[in-house]
Amino acid sequence: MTENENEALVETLYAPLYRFALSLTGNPVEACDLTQEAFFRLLKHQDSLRDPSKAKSWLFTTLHREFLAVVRRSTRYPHRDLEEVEAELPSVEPQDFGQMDCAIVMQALHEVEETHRAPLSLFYLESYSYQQIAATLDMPIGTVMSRLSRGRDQLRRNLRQLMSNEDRKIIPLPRSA
Amino acid sequence: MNLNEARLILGSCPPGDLPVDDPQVELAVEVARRSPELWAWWHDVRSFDEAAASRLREVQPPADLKFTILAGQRSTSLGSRTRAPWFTPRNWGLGLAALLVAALGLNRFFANRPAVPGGLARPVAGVSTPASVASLRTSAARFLTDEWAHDFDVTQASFPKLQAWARQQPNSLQLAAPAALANSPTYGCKIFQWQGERASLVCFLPRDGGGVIHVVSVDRRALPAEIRPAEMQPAVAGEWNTTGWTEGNRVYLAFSQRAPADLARLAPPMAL
Repeated sequence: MTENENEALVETLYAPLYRFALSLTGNPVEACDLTQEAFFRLLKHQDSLRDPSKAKSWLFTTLHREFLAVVRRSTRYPHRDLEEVEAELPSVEPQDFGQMDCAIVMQALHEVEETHRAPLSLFYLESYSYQQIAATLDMPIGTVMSRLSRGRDQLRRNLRQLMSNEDRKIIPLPRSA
Repeated sequence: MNLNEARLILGSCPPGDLPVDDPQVELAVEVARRSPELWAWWHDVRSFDEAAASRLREVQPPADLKFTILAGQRSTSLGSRTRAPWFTPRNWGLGLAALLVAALGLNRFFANRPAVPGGLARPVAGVSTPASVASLRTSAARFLTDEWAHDFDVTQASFPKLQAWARQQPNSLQLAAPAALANSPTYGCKIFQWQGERASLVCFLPRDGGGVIHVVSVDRRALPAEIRPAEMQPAVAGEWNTTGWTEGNRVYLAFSQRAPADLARLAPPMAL
């Protein structure tokens, strides 16, 4: 890849990769680190990447692998069994999105169980088909489908939880007598 | 295909247009058409997915992430170039000849190139740019925006190595950095002339991931005897947030796309 091609690739893909990383880590600084690391690895291995059209899926795969490696090395992203912590909450409705900030939706996505989060992120952020998700994350298609289904349910519950938390932050002024 | 299979496949169709070349999806849609419950469920899921995707894609990366990635890649490729396996002693003769030709060409190019008023690259004789913090800020901001990535004198990943390089230059120059950045990785350095005094530009890549910080430093003598405090206050120059301070006999200007409060922390306490 020439320097210009490489710059064009960064220009096109740094924002989608950052969003994917942010959905995985929930932390902007760590998302920047992962995004930079993915591009660094691309530069290092560009000779072995014969087909430049594969660079996008290569970068997403690499970023996800690096995230998993970081998870294995540290306890920064502790695994939470959501089945244990989920409260029985009503689900969020599509029309509720009108009131939501994008950061809240990203936070809700980040709080989806780790194994379901990556497929769900590629689904929402990149409109990847289940076949593309399976190839990118090296996962059987059936597993992708079930994780999308369960992940979506978790996302809806997380959104409802976050919205109810936001509602509780609004403290009404005392009425004058 | 039963209802459960159809539900699983339809629920896996990404937001946006349905895939046109997937027979499984076509079949699942047909099954859904015959089941009002499944059809209503799918409609609800599609609406939810469209709304969630739309909101999630509004999230913007930090303003200078792209800049930081490109700077890191250039630094890496420059570093690896010096370790390239073809650069073996038997090729040195050829390399030296190529360097000689390139140096002669560059010399002719620069000798014939018109000076850029207010530019940073070399001394500008006879240009009536008044010396002020504002003019230094404007020139440095223009350089950083237009040229910096292609025109550094040296690229080194650590500040002590940049200092060592500066000391080895003719009329050795003592590079200084704000204490808050002294241990940060660097991209590179440029030494230039400003109002007859040598000045330096060092590009730092702090590990906090907040973005690049460029620090311009010039001898106090290059500027008027009296610098008004307002001139050193946080300001915007082009696409950069900037702030300034003096320390000893040096004047510093920091440039970044970080928040002004981040830059203000670079100045030592009680500095102007």
